[in-house]
Amino acid sequence: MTDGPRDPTALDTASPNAHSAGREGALQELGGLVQKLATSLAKLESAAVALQLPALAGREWFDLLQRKLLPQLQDGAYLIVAVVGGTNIGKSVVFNHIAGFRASASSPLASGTKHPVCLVPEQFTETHDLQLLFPSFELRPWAGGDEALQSIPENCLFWRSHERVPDNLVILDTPDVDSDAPINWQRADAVRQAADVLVAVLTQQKYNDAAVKQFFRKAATEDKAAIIVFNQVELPDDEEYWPVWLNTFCSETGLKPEYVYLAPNNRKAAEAIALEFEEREWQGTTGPQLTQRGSLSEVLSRLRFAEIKLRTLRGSLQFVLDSHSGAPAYLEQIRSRGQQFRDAAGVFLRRSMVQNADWPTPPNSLIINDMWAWWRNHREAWTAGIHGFYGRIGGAVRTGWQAVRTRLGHTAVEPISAYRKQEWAAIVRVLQQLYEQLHIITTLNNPLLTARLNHLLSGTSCEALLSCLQQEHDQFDFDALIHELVSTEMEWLRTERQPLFDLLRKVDGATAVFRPVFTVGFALSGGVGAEHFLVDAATHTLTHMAVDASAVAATTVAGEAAVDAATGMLGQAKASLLRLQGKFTQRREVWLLDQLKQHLLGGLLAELEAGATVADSPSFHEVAGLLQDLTRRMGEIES
Amino acid sequence: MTTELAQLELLAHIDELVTQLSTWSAAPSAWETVSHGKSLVKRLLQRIEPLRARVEAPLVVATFGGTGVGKSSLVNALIGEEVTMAGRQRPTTTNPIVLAHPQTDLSAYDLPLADLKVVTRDVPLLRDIVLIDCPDPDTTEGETAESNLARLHRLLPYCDVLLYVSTQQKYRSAKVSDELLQAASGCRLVFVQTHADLDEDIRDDWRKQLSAKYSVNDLFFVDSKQAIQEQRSGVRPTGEFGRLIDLLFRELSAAQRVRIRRANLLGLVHEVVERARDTIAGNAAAVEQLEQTLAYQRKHATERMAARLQDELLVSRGLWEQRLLGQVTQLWGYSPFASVLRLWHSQAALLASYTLMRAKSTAQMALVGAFHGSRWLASRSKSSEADRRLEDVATLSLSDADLREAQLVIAGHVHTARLQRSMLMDQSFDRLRQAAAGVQDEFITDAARRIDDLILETARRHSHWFTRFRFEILFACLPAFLLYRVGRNFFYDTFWLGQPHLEANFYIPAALFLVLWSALLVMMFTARLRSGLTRRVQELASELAAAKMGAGLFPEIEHDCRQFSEERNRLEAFLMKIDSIRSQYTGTSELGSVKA
Repeated sequence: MTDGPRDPTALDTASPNAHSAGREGALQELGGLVQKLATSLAKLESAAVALQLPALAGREWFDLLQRKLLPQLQDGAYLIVAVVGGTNIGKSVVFNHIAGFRASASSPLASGTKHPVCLVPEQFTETHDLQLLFPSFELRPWAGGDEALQSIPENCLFWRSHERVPDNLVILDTPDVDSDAPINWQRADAVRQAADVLVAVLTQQKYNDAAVKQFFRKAATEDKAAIIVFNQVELPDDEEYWPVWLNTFCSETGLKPEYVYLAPNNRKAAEAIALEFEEREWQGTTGPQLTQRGSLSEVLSRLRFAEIKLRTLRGSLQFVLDSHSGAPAYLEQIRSRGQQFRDAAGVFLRRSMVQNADWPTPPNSLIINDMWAWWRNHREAWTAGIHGFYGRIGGAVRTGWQAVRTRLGHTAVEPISAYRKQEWAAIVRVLQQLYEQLHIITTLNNPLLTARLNHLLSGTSCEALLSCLQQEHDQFDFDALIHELVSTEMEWLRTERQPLFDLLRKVDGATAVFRPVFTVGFALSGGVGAEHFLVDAATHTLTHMAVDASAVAATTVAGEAAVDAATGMLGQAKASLLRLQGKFTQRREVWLLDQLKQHLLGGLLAELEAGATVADSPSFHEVAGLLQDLTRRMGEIES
Repeated sequence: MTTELAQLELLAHIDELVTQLSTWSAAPSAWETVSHGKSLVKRLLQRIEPLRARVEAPLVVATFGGTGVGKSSLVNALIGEEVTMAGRQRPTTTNPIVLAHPQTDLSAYDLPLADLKVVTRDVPLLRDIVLIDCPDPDTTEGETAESNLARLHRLLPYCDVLLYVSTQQKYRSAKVSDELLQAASGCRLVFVQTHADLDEDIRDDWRKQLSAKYSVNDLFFVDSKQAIQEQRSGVRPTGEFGRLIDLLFRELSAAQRVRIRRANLLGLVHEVVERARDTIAGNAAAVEQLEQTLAYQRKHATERMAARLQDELLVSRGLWEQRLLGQVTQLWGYSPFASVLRLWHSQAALLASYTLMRAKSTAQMALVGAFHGSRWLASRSKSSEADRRLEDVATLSLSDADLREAQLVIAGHVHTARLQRSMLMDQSFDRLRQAAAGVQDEFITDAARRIDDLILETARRHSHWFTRFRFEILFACLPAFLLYRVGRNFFYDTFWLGQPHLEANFYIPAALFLVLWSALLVMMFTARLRSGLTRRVQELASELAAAKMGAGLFPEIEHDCRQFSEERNRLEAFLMKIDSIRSQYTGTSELGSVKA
């Protein structure tokens, strides 16, 4: 152990200095790109939150990026060696043999080591930040081998420096990969991702276990260097079996070991850190051979540092850039999921959600009243005086009549509240149709929509929507809407239909002359039916008022021709009212649509929209561009 | 004898349970989760049928454990010869081996013999059991038909007892533990740690791990190599292995078969019923919400109708007066003031009949009286049947918009609670309307009865002799005076004093005053009748609002909700029954099992 490489220049012994410097520069450049990639990935992830994809953390390639590439591309003048394997097969024993002292406690009980233990060279922490090196662990200084056995929820890493650790090595003991404590696997995964060299401890019972194979298959895809140690071997009986085991293991996992060692089944020697590791030559071993028998620690000094470092970095980067397992797959996932969102939004756009709204007729009496009010304001002064006087008389008569009726038990219904009620009934009908459509959409089995709609369709959200709409509806000011519509319509009439307007004015003037007769007649005969007159025959009212009632007067004053013209324009006035009704209904329907968008489907549609556009967002393109740059740079370095 | 009787009783209990379960699972349910629970139970019943059939056949004992823990070595050591290949290469056993006595009839088990290699040996242990050396569950990464895991899964349903074999290296392997938990539900368990020659004893830690989910009696730490050597040299294995063999002979003997199989069966039934219960319970919150909403809708509808009724009752003064007067004249019989009241009432009745024809509101109808009212209701429901497409039946205090709102909300809750009842709006809306009309008719009939009572009671209160006496006296004053005046004029003034007869200028004002006087008294009386009426109507309305109605707007869904809680109770009852059978008969066993 003592003759291990302490010389920091060992890293360079494998290759000429100049070449190494160039490589360093290339690594630095890749490091810069990776740094940018990490930043823009974070941006992309927050932009893609609507897609509800699994988080980036926890994806193999992203963890590699965070745990291996980010810390080690910039500063990689060391190798991380990790002892890994299944539970209770002697990982800690092997680790202690590498360390040369009882650095990590071994226990006869399974799943003993729960936290990684890390040994670093002296003065290592002066030049390196261990926390940057192991971002997923909480670092704690080592105080004794037993600490790693405690079960505490934090992911701890116990570290110490030791004089026997070669200058450019960081050595770790890890928790198991197959016990019933999944937290141990996660910690082992985090160490594996950061590692360069894995000391894989295997036994005849476990070399073919599913969990163990899965772990090492990942290591192989990340191109880790491996030293295989078969522990608890029965020699010489097993001499004929170990090549079979190794063959199975390597062909199943794809791992190519640098060296292979056998450790005898000798618990006493294991406890005393005095196991004799026997090196074996095997067809797959790739490292320079040494037929020396003995200490395991010595093998580490034989590793070709720079080459392995570069290889594992490249392996990890390749993994990140791999189109099936790496970042491009994530981009593809965003793209295809965005397409799903677009398709889902299409379901809504293609469907006409409401077939037949059956909207009630707007309160004509109010429209007409408002038209009269407008007309009053646009009369010539003298007619306004006369009409105003009689209007006041008529008003008084009507008020009196209504008071009597109310006393007799007839509750007069305000036309506006009657309309409000009818309209609310129509809105509920529309809602019902809409919900029916939504129910049908859930049966289409679009998983994206079904999950979201199930929430919308629940009774509680339905209740909430109803009460919200009801409130909005109760607060709506119909008078203001009518007023606005009537003024635009009348203004239009005045400017665009000048002759009609002038004629109406003339007729109005003529009626003013005969107003006394008209008013008396109105008060006597029409008084009882005044409401009818206003409400039921509403479509004709305007023309009645303007034309019919004053037909005699008009004939006398304006002559026969004017009357002909007036009856001709009767149609126009009626059309004007119909147009107003249409506009009113249209406005109300638009209002309802807005409300529904805001309170019912708005969130969903916006979410679908947001999801569909992630693949066009700048952060997406940025990540894609960086991945291309990285791939190109990798290619250049390879050649 | 007694044990045999107990055995028979146990069988009877189980048969009863199975019959009940199959009736329960056969009945359809509108609830998706309940149906799911039922199909779970159905599937279980299918699976346990063969178990019940072969209750007397030798028990099937299988090894279970990770690769390399020495399952095959253990089997060889139990038999005493190398019947199954044990080796250092993983996995060793891919073709499972069945070991049976030559006299055991394997066809009774319906085993998948294509997968298996059958070996018969005439050894004492195999007289009582069939031994299967199973493949491992932990070398397989993705389960395919040919993988070891699939082979194992195919065999497990036939096993009665599992020999769970593990080692120091593997006793905490996640994969094996997961598989054991799935496999153990219909089995008894024996726990064995092997490799006693190489490994340390970890049974204490192992027991700690196991006891979270299993009841563990004994753990064995055996050395199969030594045991097979002892067997070969004709010695009965000693130590832990000897203890294990003793246990197998003792606990798996022919006498124990029925007990073990029944315990397994009950364990399985318990697990499945519990699963069904949990599935259904997962839905309970949504159903409760639905129930609450239904109750709320019901209450809301009643309150609404009551409020509407109150408003209308308060407005219809004329009708009140008329009904009250009618009742009072009936009670008073014939007397001068009663005749005046009757006269007044008959003219009002004429008007009222006109009102009745025009009666548009439910309250007016209720007020007209239960008898007339119900006739009117019958005619109304006929006509509303005819034109039920009419948007808003004027009498309905529950407008279409109200009903649609209620329907929307209930449909949402029904959706969440996964009740498979069609709430497709157009079809069910007509039904809902009919239900609403029914609810309203029920409400009005009730209201009419209460109003009748109220009127009778008010009329009685004002028919007290003292009240009558006062009004009769008061009324009689004027006629008496007039009679006196006329009498005196006729008999005395004219006759004796020769003064002229009273003329029209006396009779006209007299008649006028008589009319005025009676009108005044009638008005006073009706005012008296009406006093406090408003308060009483309000009381009546709040009484009506609080009254519970027979059916709500959604009677079918209410019925479904009741059904749901019945189903839940049923499952709880099953579980209690299973537990009681288990505690009565399972008794003490040295074998392990999944914890209940």
